[in-house]
Amino acid sequence: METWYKEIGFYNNPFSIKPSAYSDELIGIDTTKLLEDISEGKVIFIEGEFGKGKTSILKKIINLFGGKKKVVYYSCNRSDNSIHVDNLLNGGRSFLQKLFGIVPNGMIFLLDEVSELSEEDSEALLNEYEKNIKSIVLVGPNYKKAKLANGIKEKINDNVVKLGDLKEEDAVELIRKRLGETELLSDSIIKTLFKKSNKNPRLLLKNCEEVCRYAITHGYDKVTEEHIKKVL
Amino acid sequence: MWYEKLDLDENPFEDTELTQLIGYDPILDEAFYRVESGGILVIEAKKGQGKTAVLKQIINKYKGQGKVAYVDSTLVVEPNIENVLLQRYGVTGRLFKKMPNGMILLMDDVETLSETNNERIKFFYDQNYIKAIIFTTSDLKKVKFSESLKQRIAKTIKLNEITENDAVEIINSRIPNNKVLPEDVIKEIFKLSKKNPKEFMKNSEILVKHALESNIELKKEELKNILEGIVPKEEDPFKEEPEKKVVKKEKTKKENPKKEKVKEEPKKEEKIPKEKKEEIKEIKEEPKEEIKIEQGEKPIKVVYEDIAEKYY
Repeated sequence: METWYKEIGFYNNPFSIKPSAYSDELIGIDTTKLLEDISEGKVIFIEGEFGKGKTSILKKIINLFGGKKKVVYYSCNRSDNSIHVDNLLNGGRSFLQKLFGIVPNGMIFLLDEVSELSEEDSEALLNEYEKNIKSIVLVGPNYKKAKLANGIKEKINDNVVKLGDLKEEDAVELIRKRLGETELLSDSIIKTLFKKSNKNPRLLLKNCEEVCRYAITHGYDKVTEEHIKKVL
Repeated sequence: MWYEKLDLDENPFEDTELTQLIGYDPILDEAFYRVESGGILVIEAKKGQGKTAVLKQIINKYKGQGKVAYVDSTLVVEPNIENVLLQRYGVTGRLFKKMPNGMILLMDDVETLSETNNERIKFFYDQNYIKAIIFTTSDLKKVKFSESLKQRIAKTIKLNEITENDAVEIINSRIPNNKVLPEDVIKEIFKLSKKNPKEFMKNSEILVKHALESNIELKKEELKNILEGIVPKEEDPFKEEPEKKVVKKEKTKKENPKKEKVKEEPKKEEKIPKEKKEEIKEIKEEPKEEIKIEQGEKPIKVVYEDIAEKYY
């Protein structure tokens, strides 16, 4: 038997939760100002809990500025932060700090999982920003809890982008973009699923996948409230 | 060899990749679906319930394209997923430190997965270096998945115990024209093995071997005595012993699929669907340059993405 999505004419799973699958898709988030700020060389903090689309935004930034080797992506929670012995041997420089030494001038730094960044490293980051980093985008679940050096905080000032909950219409738009105008999922079904997914877009995509899979493999061409009850 | 008396070329009780799994169809369907649709699946099952056997089936189905990476987490204390992927990518990966795309990652006994690897996996999955992941574990509570990885898990399933009838079917599928193990004997062995498939296969092998070598017929009532006569009684404190032996045996067995996987076959060209522009874009995005600075075990990754031409 064919996979359900192939049966309805899709080559790949239309509800993939990988940000890379649909990198153009940012719904409910206005990125114009954010991208302008990056071009102007500001320091920006993007704040959002799990599943609010942080990685999708980073992906968008990489897409826009990524050619011509302008962007460095670094996730702060890699093990190298917590190991001190190596740092001592290397004159106290962390890996992030060593990284500064080898990247060309004028780069845009994307730092993921900033909650794990040490204060010392953020100090070094500030230093580097003043010398030769073009712009910095910091990403983490909570701005206030991030251990950032005061200098960095001053630079961020009010450039904090909060990723909030998706609105109901946004959820419908998100699914429509993936699926197109099809009878399979009606707007009201999408809204029900959205509520059941605690307004989390990733969960919504996963739940849509499950109900559609159930409906198609059981020979229905429309998802009903009953199917939702059965599957979720 | 004893099994030649059954007209067989190899030990019917030893699992190979080609062994048909009985009673596992729904699980395999689920696993194949997750691999194809690019999801993350967690399989929970007790020791000996066939987790590894399920993974072997997946390897068997998708091998040959250099896309499947199998990691036995118990063998490597801290497997660096990055290195695993690069190695699986074969010569290209090692030579150019180029990241593969669309790998299928199978992680057996994942309890030991560290937080660092959690994060690596999340990153590689998001970037589609890893297409799909199947984790197995004997105890879901012990697994330390990070919140963000947990959110990406599509489904968690538990392997159900196989039934008496499954046991009969298993034996009959492995021994054609089975006369050596009548149905009631099979069911009794299954009971004596406490419904554990691995134990069941081990005991069946001992009994069949014994029956063929001493030319006797197996009787339901005598099984226990034969097993106790042949298998030294296992005292409780040493209960772990045979388990360990089994694990060791597995390790050597695992060498095989691994070696086989190293054979690089030309990648099949991916079809580009006409109607889906997004697809085409994804493929365009592929060329990526990567600089990696390694310092001992702790690589930093700097990814320069080279994809924006079309925007200028």
